[in-house]
Amino acid sequence: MSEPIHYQIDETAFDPEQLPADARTVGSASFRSHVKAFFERQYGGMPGETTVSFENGKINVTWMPREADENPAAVIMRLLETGRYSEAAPLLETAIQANPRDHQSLYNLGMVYSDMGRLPEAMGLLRRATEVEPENANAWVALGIAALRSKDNDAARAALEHAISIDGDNAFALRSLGTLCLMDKDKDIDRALQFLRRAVALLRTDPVSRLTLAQALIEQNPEQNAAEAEALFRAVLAMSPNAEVAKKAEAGLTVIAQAKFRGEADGDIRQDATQYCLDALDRFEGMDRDTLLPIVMEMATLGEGGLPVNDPSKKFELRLLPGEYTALHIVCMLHVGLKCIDPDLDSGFDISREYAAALALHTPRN
Amino acid sequence: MSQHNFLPETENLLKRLTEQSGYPVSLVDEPSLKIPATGSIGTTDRPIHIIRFHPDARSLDYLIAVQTSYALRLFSIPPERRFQLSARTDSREQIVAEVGRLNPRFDAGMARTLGEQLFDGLMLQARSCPTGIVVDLCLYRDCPGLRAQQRDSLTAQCQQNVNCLSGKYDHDFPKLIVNGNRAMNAAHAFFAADLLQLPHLAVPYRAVGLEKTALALLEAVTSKPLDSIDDRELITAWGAQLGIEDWFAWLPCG
Repeated sequence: MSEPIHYQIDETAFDPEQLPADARTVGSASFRSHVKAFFERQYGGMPGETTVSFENGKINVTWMPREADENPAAVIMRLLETGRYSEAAPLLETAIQANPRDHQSLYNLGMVYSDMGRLPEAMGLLRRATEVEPENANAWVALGIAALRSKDNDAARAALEHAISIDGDNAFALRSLGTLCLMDKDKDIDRALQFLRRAVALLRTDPVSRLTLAQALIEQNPEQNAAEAEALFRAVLAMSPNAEVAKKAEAGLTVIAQAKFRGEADGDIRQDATQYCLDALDRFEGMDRDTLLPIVMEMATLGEGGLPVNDPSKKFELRLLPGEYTALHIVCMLHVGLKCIDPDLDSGFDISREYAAALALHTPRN
Repeated sequence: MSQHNFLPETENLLKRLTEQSGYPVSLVDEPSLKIPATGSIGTTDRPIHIIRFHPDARSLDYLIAVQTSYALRLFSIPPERRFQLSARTDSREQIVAEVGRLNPRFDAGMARTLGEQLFDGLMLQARSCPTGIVVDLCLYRDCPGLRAQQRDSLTAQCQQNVNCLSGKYDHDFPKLIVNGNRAMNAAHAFFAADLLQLPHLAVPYRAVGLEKTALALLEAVTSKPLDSIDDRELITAWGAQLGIEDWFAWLPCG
């Protein structure tokens, strides 16, 4: 056992049976002293330190393993690295109570609160971190990001530009400034591209800077920048296939593919897509929701990696619908399947005209 | 569909489930999932088991083994003895009404949403906690390769569950919900403390006087040979001790 333990219980909820008869008045000095002794006894067999404090009718219990006692920063880092923010936060608060100018703890707790959405507290802590170490660019970046999340663009810009004045190659400051340029009321896409290109060059394995750059390129000129944006979206998918950014990259690829798809159809209805929709209407006719749902899920999961709808040479297999299918065929079946489940659902792929044409051509079996 | 390399124990459980049920198992990694993993057992109408998991979930083999084991338990008994737990509408309505009474500032819609969430949450816990303990005992006995992940996962669950003692919602939520949730968390903590030989996991619950309640619930598991435990009987016994037995309606599995 090497993880710290922290929890809180009501003083009134403590079991009086665990205490001597004369120490059962909740909140009394004797009650508190025996409660403290109870927890010290319970954790006594474990190498570490038990802290019991009383505040606003609550009992706060913390047990720190000996390893943590000797090197609390290492334990906190391990908790932060594994995303266990709610466990790290009370330990960081304790560290700040002990030393209000502990820069590392101010910085880390500020970041934790920023990620948890407790933005005013985050900004307060990060401001204190920048006061303690004004030359630390990362603290200014974290303050800028918290301000950005608070939608305080002016404060964000000031903090991020200050970070860059300290360290011109601070990739996270560049990335955040690029994002800020895109969020501003008067968007400055050219400036955003400058910052984001530098961030991408510095952060060789960062999907977020690539995603933002790709989105900015599409916004600037979707036709002219399609190839560069597509390469960036694909890089995002390769780097983080399961993260939230992957969904956004897929959406970006869909926008590019739709533009190409319509380009190939030259504005008219695509006959191949209409035929595939018609085939799907025949296949799915009479299937109930529970039968159809796993099939649709399998196709949707296949589509998570981006389907090359303009490449008829690449074939895919489906376990629940034996056979080989092109990506366009799968997209059409997915679209039809979703419509069969609920007409309001949408595949996100612009084949509504082909679907409407297939519906008009389809003759129900009954 | 997912392409993970699982431990031999996990692969073996997945293979056994496919063989025993006759339905394939589909593993889907779902970044939008709010919990580490969840399973949906195949039926004749939908002949596929689907296990969804968050791609960043820790102890993934163990989580998948648990979901697979729930399904295996169902298919290990004859079809005529397979039942699924359902909730009685009148019990749900009582909880909704009580949430409304306890929170007069809520409008009817909010009280309904919260009441239904609380009711369904406790029903889910009543369905999964006692059988989960049996599943954990079986995994510990049969799959030693998963023990390290099991230890991490159970310890993390206990640490997370202990928040139920903070008293934050004691006045806003119905007593049956608060007490039922705490009692099951306590049973789970005492079970994990014993299985993993980590007695500190049970300390918070001992402090609030839940040891007897927890041990009484665990009695329903420990008083019988592991392989003879019937999930329906077990859940009913826990329901009776928690005072929510009349919430349950048992329906034949489709």
